[in-house]
Amino acid sequence: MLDGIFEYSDIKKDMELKTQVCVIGSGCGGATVAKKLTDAGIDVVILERGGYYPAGKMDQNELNMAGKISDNRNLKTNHDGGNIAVGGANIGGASVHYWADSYRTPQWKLDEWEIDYGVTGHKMADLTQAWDEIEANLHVHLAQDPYFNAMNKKIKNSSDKLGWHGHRIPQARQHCQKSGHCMQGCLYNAKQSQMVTHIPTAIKQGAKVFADAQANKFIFEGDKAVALLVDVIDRRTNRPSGIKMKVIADQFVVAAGGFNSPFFLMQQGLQERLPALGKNLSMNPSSMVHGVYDEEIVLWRNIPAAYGVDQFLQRSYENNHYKEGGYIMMANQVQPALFAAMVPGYGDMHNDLMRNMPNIGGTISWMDDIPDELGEFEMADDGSKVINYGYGPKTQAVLKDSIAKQVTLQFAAGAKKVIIAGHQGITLESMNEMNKLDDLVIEAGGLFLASPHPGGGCRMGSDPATSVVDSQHKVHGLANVYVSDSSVFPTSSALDPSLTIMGFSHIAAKSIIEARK
Amino acid sequence: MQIQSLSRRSFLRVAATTAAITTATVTTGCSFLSGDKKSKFTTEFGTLLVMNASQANTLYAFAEAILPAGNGFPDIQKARVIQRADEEISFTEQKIINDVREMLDVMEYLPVFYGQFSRFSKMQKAERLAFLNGLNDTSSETVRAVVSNCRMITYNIYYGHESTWSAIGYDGPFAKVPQQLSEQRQYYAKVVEG
Repeated sequence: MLDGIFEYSDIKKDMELKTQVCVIGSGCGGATVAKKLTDAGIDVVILERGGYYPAGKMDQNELNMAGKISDNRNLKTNHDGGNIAVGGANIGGASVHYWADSYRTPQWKLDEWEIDYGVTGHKMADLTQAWDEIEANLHVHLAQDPYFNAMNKKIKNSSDKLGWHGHRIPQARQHCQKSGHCMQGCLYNAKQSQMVTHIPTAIKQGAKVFADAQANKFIFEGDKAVALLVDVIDRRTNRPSGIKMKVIADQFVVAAGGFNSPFFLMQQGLQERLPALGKNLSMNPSSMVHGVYDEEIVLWRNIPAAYGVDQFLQRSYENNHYKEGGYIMMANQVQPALFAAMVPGYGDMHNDLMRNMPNIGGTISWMDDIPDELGEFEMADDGSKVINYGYGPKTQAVLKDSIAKQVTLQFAAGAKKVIIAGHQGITLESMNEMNKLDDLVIEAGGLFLASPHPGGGCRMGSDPATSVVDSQHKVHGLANVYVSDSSVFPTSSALDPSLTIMGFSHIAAKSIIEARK
Repeated sequence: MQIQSLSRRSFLRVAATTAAITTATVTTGCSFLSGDKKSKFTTEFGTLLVMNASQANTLYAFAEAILPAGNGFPDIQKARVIQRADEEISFTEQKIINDVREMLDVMEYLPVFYGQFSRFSKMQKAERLAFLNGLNDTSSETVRAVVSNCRMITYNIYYGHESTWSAIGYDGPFAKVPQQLSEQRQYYAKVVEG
């Protein structure tokens, strides 16, 4: 056992645990709810399917670290293979590889969730105190000048030139070394992931944390989950070792993340009584544009995103027709392996771009999913998970606009050539060629997309016919099972969801504590 | 070359057939640990755990067509593209493993669907590249998925290898610490070396 965390090698035979609250998942949702519960003196067990990789086990090597901290080594995609479903699979969850952007949920998004989806108790007033505490714990602060790499400086300058509104992005980091390896885990413990913040605090306050522990099946007595059966994963093979755990608890919190919580509950056979389970999947699909510059950009160093262009954050309409917007834009950051996969073409075309990598910049836009064009999870015949996420006409329009604006931003920044990250490899050499974007086809597998912000499969609401959890985060129809991660979001959070997840988890913890009285 | 619109169902039918044929004729598989259902495949790239010899040849042919050769770039063997791809995929969930195998089987017979008289790995390198470029405007979602995933794996693994870095001006990990092999990497090495 290292640092209070049990690993597969510590569990040598079947075991049974008794606790007050069992939390499934150790990311932003699970770690935060566990921390708040232990704050209140409640006994907590955290189960994490992935391994434990603290700074001492990191080497910043892109492929090595993807194997340690990224779910399925970033090889899991949606049904058409074109959208990488990026998630964490390790103690600390996705926060170990995330960019540390720390946005409070916009007021308009909270209003949307309240008015259109019946969410209560999650207003700005309910969340502000939680965020104040979280931001203090995670040292959240606005990105300062030394943390603007060349691409971020260009984004800021060009958006100013265009008259587009932007902002310094709030960051959860302390004494950042500007390595550029956020996605490989922070070797310096500077990025304030859950692994270095809420989890150590929870352990200090008595929580027991098990890595390599895959939640399998609830045992129910009526509407109450009385125990959870767990498979211990042999980290060497990434397959169940044959050793089992049984966790007996008063309450259970499912916090396995937006890609996993809905599917876990589907595996418990709850879909028939909860028709919304697994549906309403939002993913913040991210389009990318690469730019070739005369000067060196070195996209892979310093923090990923110091500046966000929010001029087009909300969709705008003219005469009831979509006009523009519905996304945030920022600098991109990728190391060479992922960069190569996101650059179109083959042979000499691709090779020439790769040779020029130091002079290639990039932007990315995170789209606020269209509420009536969301995706869903499906269980295949072999029991595996299929992520169905297509591109309806409204989604296509927003993605196309996000690409056009990224092209504009990069030419304003001085790009000599811009390349759309997609199968077609559309390349523009000036703003005079914008008509080439008319040929851009947004179709399954066409664009190279990554989606690290899943949400919605366990949508919050008051009606069990259209939602999965109530506003207390409790699963409809079950006495003691809660969900505390992005899967409860009624729609996309529009911005990086980590602070929203943590804020919501504070409320979930309050509900659980209240229910214990 | 006329591009046809191809349904997923027709591909899967072919894939299942070709997989059965290739598995029966070229695979020498055995279970190496009791309770572990993985097999080992003997290939010209060494022992592999996911790809049989035919699938490994297809991936090699794909990589050979699209990757740079010379001029400071390592070849596929030096960058250990086939071996590392096999290693990484072997630790993903079973569905991904199955999808990758199916994808490579389909890739191998894709030219035949488009009226070519040769399987993919039997075409000349330049013909393979021309064939792939010709698919850029395909209307088939399945074709895009197959080709996209082959390219994603190939480029990801190749440029993740340190032998490619000096040619692309990448200065490597910031900290310059020794590589720390995970339990899985150590286990894979032990199993394939046998």
